[in-house]
Amino acid sequence: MPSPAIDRRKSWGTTALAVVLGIGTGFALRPLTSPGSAHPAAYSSQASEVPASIAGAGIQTSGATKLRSRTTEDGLTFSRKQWRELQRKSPALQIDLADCLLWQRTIETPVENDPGWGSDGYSTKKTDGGPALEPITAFLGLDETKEERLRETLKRFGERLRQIERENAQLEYRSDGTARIGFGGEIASRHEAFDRLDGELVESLGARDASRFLAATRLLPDEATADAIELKVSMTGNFLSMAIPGSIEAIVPRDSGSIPKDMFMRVQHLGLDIDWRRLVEEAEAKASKR
Amino acid sequence: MKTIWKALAGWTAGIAVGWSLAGLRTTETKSPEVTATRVGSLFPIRSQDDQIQIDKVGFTKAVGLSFTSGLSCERYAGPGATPPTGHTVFTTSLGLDSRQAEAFHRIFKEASEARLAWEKENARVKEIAPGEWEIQIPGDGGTADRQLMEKLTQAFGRELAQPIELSADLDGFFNLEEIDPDFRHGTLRLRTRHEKMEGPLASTFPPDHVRVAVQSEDKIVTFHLGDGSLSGNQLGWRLGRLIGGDQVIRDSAPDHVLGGTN
Repeated sequence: MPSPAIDRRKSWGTTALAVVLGIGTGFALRPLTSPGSAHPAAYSSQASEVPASIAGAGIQTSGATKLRSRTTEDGLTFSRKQWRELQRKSPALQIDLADCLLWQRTIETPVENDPGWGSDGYSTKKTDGGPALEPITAFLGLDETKEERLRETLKRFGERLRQIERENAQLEYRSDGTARIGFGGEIASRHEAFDRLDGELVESLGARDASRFLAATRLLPDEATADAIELKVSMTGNFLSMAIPGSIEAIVPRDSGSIPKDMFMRVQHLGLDIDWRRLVEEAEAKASKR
Repeated sequence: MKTIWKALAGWTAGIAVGWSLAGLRTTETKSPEVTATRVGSLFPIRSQDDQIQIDKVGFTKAVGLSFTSGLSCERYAGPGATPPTGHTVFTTSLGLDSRQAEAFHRIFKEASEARLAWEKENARVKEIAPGEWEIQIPGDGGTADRQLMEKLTQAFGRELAQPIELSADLDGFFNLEEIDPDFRHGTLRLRTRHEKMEGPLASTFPPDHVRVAVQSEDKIVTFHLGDGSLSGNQLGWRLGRLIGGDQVIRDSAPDHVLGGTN
């Protein structure tokens, strides 16, 4: 029969063994239960600042963009050469949504009054045939077949969106120098047009290039896919500013008497008779009250 | 029975101790990947197997920033711009604190000064006609790039140097971007002329008007000296130093009459 002293020793021995085993288990368990498993505890507070997209296995969109489609679910990957080109020459890669809607091409030619002494400005000409795709196809390295498919995709998208927007555009003045062009109950059709473009791009170019195409050309910035187009005229000192998000802002002297409305290509396909004069007068009235 | 409870309690306590120890262990392990993304948290960008990965929001910021901040050699070493306009935008976007931003500025300024000094020493300049020069800028074998990257890595560690390199377009930092964002070395032709206006518009024309044209292959960039100084134009300032400065250009500029009576 074992003595009580031996019993006690055995009991403490078992406990000690359990503690040692426990330490081992805890040590082994912790890294397995930490999110991302390899994230050091010291960095945990900072790691929480890391967007989930980066901390996880792949890079994903943060959800700030309005399109919820296949191409926006992945992050973007570029070769170093492409990245360099984006940083140095990205305006050349951009495609204007208006050029798709009106299926036109904007050609800028330098004007040289004195050959050899540089250009004195640019002349702009519009021709048929949709936007120039050469810069972006060279950037993505697309072959002729893909370029042709891309052109057809953009043409179909331009026609579809033009029709939806033209048939449903409703102009509403707000009496403060601003106006809004809404699209009535056809918001869903517009979204569908954007999503279809996205889907067709994936089909013609593959998901990766479709995603790079949309990012590099900035064809669909958030303003383009927003539910309404906002027009705004404002006065700063003696200058009038006329703006449509996503288009170049027109700034003209107040007394110039001319309103360069032709430059707002983004709304030209709507066939609306926008009363810019009224917006200018409202903006002037608003500025004089200040 | 008591022994079982003791063992169970011991095991539980052991897990807790083990858990804490595991935490201590991991705090000592640095994961470069996490550090890199933490640093670039305002600007999530990374490079893997020579592929640049970035999310869409970061993309818009990064590409926009490379245009708006315009980090370039002349802006750090040139006259008037210390620190250059885009510097703060850039360092803020990268999430650098003020001490890091200061180090960033010092490194870029010193690298720019070193590069411009090298250019002055190594560029070959030949006057080919009155008011016309040929400037040959040789390649430096990537020395300026390499040294800048080394200094950034020393100061910020590899993890931070990478997002800086990728978002600042360091490869293009020393380029003569007004001629072409890719132009680093090659041959340029600089011509200048003193323009005078005759006829009805004569009174509206500035009295002391010097025009400069810089040509690289088929591309021509022009600017005016205006107030008589090259310092207002970065490219003019950078090339002017190689020729001998504003005054040499002004003195050599032949007269050219614009307009006329018809």
